[in-house]
Amino acid sequence: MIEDTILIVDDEENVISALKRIFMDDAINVLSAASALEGIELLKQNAVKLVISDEQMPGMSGSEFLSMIRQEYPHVVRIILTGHASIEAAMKAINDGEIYRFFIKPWNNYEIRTTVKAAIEKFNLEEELRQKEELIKHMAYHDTLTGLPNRLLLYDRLTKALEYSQRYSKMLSICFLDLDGFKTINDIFGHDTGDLLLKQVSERLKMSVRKSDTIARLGGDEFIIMLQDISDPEDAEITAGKIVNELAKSFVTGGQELSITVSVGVSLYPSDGTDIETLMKKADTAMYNAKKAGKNNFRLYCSDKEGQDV
Amino acid sequence: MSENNLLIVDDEPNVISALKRVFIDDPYGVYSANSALEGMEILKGNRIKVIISDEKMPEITGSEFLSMVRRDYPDIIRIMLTGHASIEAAMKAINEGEIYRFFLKPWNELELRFAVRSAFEKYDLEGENKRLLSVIKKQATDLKLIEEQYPGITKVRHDKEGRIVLPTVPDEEMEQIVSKYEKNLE
Repeated sequence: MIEDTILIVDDEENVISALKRIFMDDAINVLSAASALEGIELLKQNAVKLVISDEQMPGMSGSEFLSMIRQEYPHVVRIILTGHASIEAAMKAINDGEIYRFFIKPWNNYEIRTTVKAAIEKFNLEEELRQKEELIKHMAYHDTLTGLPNRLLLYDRLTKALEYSQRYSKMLSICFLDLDGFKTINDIFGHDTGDLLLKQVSERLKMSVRKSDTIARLGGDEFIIMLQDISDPEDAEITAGKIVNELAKSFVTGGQELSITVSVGVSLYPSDGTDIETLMKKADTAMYNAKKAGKNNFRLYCSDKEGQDV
Repeated sequence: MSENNLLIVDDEPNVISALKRVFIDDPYGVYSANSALEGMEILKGNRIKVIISDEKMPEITGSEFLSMVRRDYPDIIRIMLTGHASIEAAMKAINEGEIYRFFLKPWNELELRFAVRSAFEKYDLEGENKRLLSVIKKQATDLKLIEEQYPGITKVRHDKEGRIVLPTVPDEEMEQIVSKYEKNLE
């Protein structure tokens, strides 16, 4: 079970201990701080779901503190518990701190306890929703098997990368990868082994490129690698060569040793094209030339007609 | 696009007309009521997203009205605008009415317009979140029911091209599953 953590901030020690006693029988982890600054430190280190703060404290006031929490941790539930407050402080707490409740001391134990428990329940429900939303977003932009970006995310990144390359006159490269003989492996060893191998291939690809490069899986045994911010066509050649060599090393998949190779086609911005469609098409053409040339190698797109149509 | 409707509740007609002028350039449908009861009537017949209410009104106060709104129409974003600057009023409005903003008369026009605009945004965002949650919940329930009928069926298999591989199920058996599943939903 996940423990719910709350934070109480008050400069009076006896207030803190009295409040802590309210939650003695609950599965709630109660942290406490004597000032807003101390509270901020605790928020950094703990997954706090709710804050109860005094208003009048030396240094930062409660409403200022809660306004800050709203900015930094908007999902944390914010409650003011104050001995005496001005209408100005209350307005600041409501309008800037978007507080959930405003209580006056002396408080009613039952009211505090039920309010906090209800607020935590609400927090947990909303947190679950936020996580599911994240998951949905991730699933929309990633390949479920390998976790790599899918076509949608690749095109989004390509669009941005091309804008960047244009503005700063940089070179960009698209490598079109197609595994050689993957279908045979699927036919002989089955889909599960094939899937496992695709995962291993994606891991090996990750190790062959820079972190800033994008590896995407288009489906099947096709992958795209976008190399951004390169200074020389040779950089793309080096990477493509590295990929071919890395994948040619054997894999141990599900207890058996498997060999697979890859054919890579490379296109370059701006020399081969300036838009996504052209660059992808030319990388694809270059990949076919690599296949025709005997697979297990890479080819740069060559505008020379002879080179393309053999 | 869904319409952005605002309801202003105040027992002073000149306040209402002054407030209507504040939002004259904003793309809102502006409704008004002279009392909480009148406000409740308007809520019954119209899709209001944001309410601005006065506190001191005969019969039902603003914070009482807003807590009723919170109970009956929890999605509506609630703003209090009062001439009565007491901490008690503010406390009641936040604790019982769960208001989004609290302003004093005379108001700052820009501040008020800005608050109302972000109130509409908040309404739309929360509506979208609620819709998503219900979709997720429905999908989870559906999947669970199907999995109970047919263990393993929710584990999707893909072929080399990324196409989904479906197990073949005879028509009669499929009908049985579907009818059982529909019963479960009832």
